[in-house]
Amino acid sequence: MIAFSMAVGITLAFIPGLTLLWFVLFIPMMLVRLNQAAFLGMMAAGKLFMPFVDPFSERLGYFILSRPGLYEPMGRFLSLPGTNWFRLNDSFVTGGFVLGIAGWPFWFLISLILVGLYRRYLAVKVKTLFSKLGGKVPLLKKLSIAVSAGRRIGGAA
Amino acid sequence: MRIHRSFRGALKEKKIRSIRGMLTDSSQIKLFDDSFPRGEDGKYHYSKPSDEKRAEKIKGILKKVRKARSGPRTLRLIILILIIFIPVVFSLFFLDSLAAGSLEEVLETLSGTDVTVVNLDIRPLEGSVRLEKLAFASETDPMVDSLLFTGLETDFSWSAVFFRRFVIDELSGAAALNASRETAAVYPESFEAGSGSGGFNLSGFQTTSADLAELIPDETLNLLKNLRGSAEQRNKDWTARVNRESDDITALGERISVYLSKPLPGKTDIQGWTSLIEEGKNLGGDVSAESTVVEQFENELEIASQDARRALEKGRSAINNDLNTVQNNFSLNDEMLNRWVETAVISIAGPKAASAYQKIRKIVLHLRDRTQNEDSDDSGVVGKGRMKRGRIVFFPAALPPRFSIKLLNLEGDDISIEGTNIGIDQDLAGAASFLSIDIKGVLSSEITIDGRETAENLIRGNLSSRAAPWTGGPDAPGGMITVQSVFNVRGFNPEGDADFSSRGQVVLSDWNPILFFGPSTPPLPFSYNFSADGGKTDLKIQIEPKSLMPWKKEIGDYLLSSGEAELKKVIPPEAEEQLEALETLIEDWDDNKAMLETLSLQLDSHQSELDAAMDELTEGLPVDIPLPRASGVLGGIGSLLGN
Repeated sequence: MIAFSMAVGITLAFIPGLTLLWFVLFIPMMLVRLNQAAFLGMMAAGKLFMPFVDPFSERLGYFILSRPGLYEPMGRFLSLPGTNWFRLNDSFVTGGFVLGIAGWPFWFLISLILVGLYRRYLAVKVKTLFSKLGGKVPLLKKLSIAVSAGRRIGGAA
Repeated sequence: MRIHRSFRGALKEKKIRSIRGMLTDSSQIKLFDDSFPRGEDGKYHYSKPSDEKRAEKIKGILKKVRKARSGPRTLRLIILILIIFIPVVFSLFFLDSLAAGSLEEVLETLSGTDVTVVNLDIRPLEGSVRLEKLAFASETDPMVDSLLFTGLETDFSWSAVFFRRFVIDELSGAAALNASRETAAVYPESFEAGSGSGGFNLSGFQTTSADLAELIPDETLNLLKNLRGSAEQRNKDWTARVNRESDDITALGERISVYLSKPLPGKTDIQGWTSLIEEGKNLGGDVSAESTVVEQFENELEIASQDARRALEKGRSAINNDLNTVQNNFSLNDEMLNRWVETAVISIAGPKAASAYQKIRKIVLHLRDRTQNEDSDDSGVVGKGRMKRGRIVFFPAALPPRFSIKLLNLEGDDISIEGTNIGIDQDLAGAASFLSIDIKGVLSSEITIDGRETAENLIRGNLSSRAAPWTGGPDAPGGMITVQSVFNVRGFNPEGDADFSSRGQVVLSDWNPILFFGPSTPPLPFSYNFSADGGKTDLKIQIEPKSLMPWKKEIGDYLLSSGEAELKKVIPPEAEEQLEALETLIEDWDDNKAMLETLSLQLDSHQSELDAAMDELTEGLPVDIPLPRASGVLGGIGSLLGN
């Protein structure tokens, strides 16, 4: 569940924000059963890396959009009312969208590895750290209990 | 300890079965069945177990069931609605003020002056926008709006909005020029009052006698000296020779007198007669020779006199040439005047034209930035936001224009703005756009915008003004301007390789203040050619030579009146002396002529005396041999006598 949510967050990070396409994907993700913390956190973290990925996604989008076979179908699609708000004729939007969707299995795999590595090497240390800090700061203790309870209820990925 | 509120009420059979299906442990199912007994109404009600441990356990079971439920999460939905729709609702409530502020900011950026937007009313459901007042403050007077629109009303097309386009069906309202403001304008920070007005520097009209003195060359003075010297020397030599000749003639006269006083020989004294005749013959020859010499002197006198006159003319001509040279150096020929007027006009109009062009370019680029940053087909454009990094790939989609005002009608007492299909992508609108601006009595223009890729010109139009006031700047002359011009724009893009050109005829008249001269300044007609390529502008002025004639006259009069006195000062006194000397010399020659006449008369007298003597001799000859007259033929006697 956590890896899935993280992969969805990465996908949405690729798509430029405040476009209709982004909202169309973001709103359903907010409504389905996802680990929202992982989803929103990964989306925010992913945005930090986007300046390094954007040139590549833009070139990918332009490569796709400039395929001759796409000329007529895209023309018909963009002639439909409302479709221009998706801005799929923009190489940057299309590149980000394709990279996010097509690369989703890869992002999921990476997320699984990250979660596994966390549980194996960091989870205990983080829990201990919170426990120690919780002994001194009551608020952190409550937070530690909440994290533990969340893990029990949410279940493993 | 209470269970979740969703289980406190009566539960239906279906709900109970659903919950039981989620439980796998039989002890949990039994505890659940015990805790929710069926009531008389056929529904199941929670009955708290008496045992605290069982009550705790059923509470935990219900909590897990609730967490594991399927279907929409109401709380999340509410949060999502709050996150997404609150800004939308906020925008709807405050849309008018937000849009007004944004419109004001954009227009101030574009116009560079203070813009006032009052009561912007956007009605999305009606698809209409109303604006009570839109004012552009004057750049020179903060208490005046140079352009004012009131009662603006427009209807926009929702169908175009679905295509992410903005098409206005009709924009109408009232317009006015130079309306007074109630409060002073607050100009943007980037505003610079009077920016773009060029200086006015009319140089090249001032000369001093010191400058002119250097223009009289030494060669002229040397020439005058040489002319005078040679003429004087020639006169001196000639006079000396004439004096000598005069002495000779005087001596000849004395010899004739002696000859005439001699007694006649006897009739038989043939030898005496022969000697007397021989002496007379010699005297006649001398008189004839002297006459020839006098004639030669007369000829020489004539030639020398003419030479002296020519020398005088040459001297005068040299002086005049020098004066002309001087005058040309501080008067205006056609080329010089043309260059001066061109410089003056460019110094005034150049910065204004460049400023106007840069303003138009800024507006166009700004609009393009707004509309094309996201639609740019240029990979080199990298903006601040992520969306500015993409390239638009064009597909054969049937779309409305990006922005269009189908019908524009702004009418006022002193201004009228009309147009059709004003906007961007007019090829998509199916027709070229047309804009007509008529400032009554002052300016009218017609502009056609054609955004098609195959169009020769993106924008083309004509502009004509009828005696509009103009000024070159705070300290520069002004007057009235009449313009007939055409212009065209072939393209604008962010790289700045725009191609803008304009040419036309301009007449500057009613100069104020009057320039330099007389009671009025003549009108100045000229043609211009303005071109701009990116940030560089070039203004060229061409003036018909015929139209400069009044200016030449005015300037010439001015220069003559101010320069004549100066000019006279630069003729050196020595040159005047030389010329006067030559004139005196010519008078001397005339005097010499009189002397020659005297000599000639003297010779004639001697000739007459000699002729009379010859007649006397003829009468007294012992033989009847007629003697020829002495005048010219005395030599014949000799032949008769055997000589």
